[in-house]
Amino acid sequence: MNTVRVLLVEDNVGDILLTTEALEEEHLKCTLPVVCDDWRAIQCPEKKGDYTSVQKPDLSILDINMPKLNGHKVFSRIMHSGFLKQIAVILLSTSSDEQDLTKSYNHYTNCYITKPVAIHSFFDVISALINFGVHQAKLPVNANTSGNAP
Amino acid sequence: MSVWQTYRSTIHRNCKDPEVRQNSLAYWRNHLFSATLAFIIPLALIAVVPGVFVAYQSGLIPIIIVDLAAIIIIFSIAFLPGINVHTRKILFTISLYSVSVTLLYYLGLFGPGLLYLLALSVFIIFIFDYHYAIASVAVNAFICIFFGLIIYFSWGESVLVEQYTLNTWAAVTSNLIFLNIVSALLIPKLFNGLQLAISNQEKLTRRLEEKQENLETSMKLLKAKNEELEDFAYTASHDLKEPLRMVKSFLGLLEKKYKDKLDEKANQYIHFAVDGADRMQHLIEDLLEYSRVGRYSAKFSTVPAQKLVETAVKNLQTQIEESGAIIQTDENLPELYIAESEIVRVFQNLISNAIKFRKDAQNPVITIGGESNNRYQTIWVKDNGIGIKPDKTDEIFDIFKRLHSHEQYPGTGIGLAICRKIVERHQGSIRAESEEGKGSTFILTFRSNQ
Repeated sequence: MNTVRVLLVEDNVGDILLTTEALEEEHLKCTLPVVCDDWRAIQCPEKKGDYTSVQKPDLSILDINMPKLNGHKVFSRIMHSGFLKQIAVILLSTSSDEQDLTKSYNHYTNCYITKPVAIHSFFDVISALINFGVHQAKLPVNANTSGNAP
Repeated sequence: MSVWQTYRSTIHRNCKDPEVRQNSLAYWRNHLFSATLAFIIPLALIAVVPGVFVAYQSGLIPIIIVDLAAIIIIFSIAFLPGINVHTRKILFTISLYSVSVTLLYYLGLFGPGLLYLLALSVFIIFIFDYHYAIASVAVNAFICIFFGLIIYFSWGESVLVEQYTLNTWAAVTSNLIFLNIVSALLIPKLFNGLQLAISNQEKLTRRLEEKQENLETSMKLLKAKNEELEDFAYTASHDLKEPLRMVKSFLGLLEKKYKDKLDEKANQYIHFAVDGADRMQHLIEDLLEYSRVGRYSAKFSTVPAQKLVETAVKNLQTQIEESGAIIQTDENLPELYIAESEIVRVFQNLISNAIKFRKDAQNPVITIGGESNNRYQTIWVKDNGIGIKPDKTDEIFDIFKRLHSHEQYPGTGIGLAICRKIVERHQGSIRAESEEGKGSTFILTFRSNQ
């Protein structure tokens, strides 16, 4: 099984399981720690707390609807950390709200996807994301070493 | 402001009692008093000048003195600030009593003295409270008796002593007192009536204001409750989505991964669970959509209805082509002042319904027409579909109201509810006219010049 570093920022245990299974379906293993609350979601890209020696991911999938902080604030901080520079940043959210959508693109997400309800669609989406963000998109060779904050 | 207006308003200001309520009887009494002062000053000059002239010729110096003193006092009453209005009225009455007593003393019935007494008592009834009316009768009676004594004892140099005997004086003055009493008794009755009418009117106005206030409070409460309800619907449907997605996802995963390991019955259970979750999902999504209408204030602009229909038709192109629907639009549809995307949605839902509820053997034909006058703009969407029973044409606009089974016509029954919500947000209305089997007409009405 290939290893791909996917940063999954997600607070729903069910979704973590679903995503992991979808990755397995792609014969991929998610190697980055899954970040499951918004404090950790900020710590990880800023390389603080448990994440001092975290490696730069190949792809990031973020759910912005995390409850403690405003999802958009968290997202904005993550984007400002520079940690996700040079890789695809995918927002996978339950919200189909027009304002959430606009705000996310204003904070420079690469792609906003409303979490599909049907299981096969969910797997399709993850598959497409891996295909696009890991296999097809050409990333800078030194992407994994230049992840310092701007 | 002209000189006359300045003059009037100065007197009016001096005769105002801040404690008296606007429009009460006391207010109008003061008003009458101020108006009297304003007119009496120029008019008194007309009365006084010839009087003084004649008095001067006849050598009646006291009359001249009293006349002039009265005029000075009236001037002071009108223009000196800082005097209470009641005091002004008393001073005014006293000065006029002095004039009439002087006239009586020096001119007797030849002069206007008795006339002044009668006029004064009537005036007192007008500008003072009722008990002053009785006082004025008493004062007049006292004056008459006083002059009676002068005549009887032949005191002083009054002309009355020469002109009258006690009997003739009594005959004349008893008439004065009679008229005095009649006016003191009758005029207040008129005022009582007026007072009653005024206070009734005020009571009614107050009650009306109270009602109005209650109504406004209720409206505000209703609006707040409505907003709360909408918020609730929005939050609830939003938050319900998430757990439902978990249910569906893992049912799906279960089916995907363990289908072969489970027996037929277990798979059937999964099937029904998935089907239920699917339907619930549609309901939640539609509810969310319904509660989203008007959540973000859309921009209003003037758009030809023609353009709105064209956009709706473009959005429904696949459905129209597949069903072979024919859309006919009248020329000269009105221009509407509306939130464009919302009304496009209304047309889209109506056209889509017309196609969905078509007759089996017929191509759907949808006609869109309209007219406008000064007050209303009307647009109708008419189809040749299966129609609706006339007694159901109201309830079809209720949320989740469906007239057919899920198997016959899929859908949650949200489309027309959304239409109604949008149209009502535009202060318009929507209704349907139909007969079963004879097609339906949906009529939108907006106010002109919104």
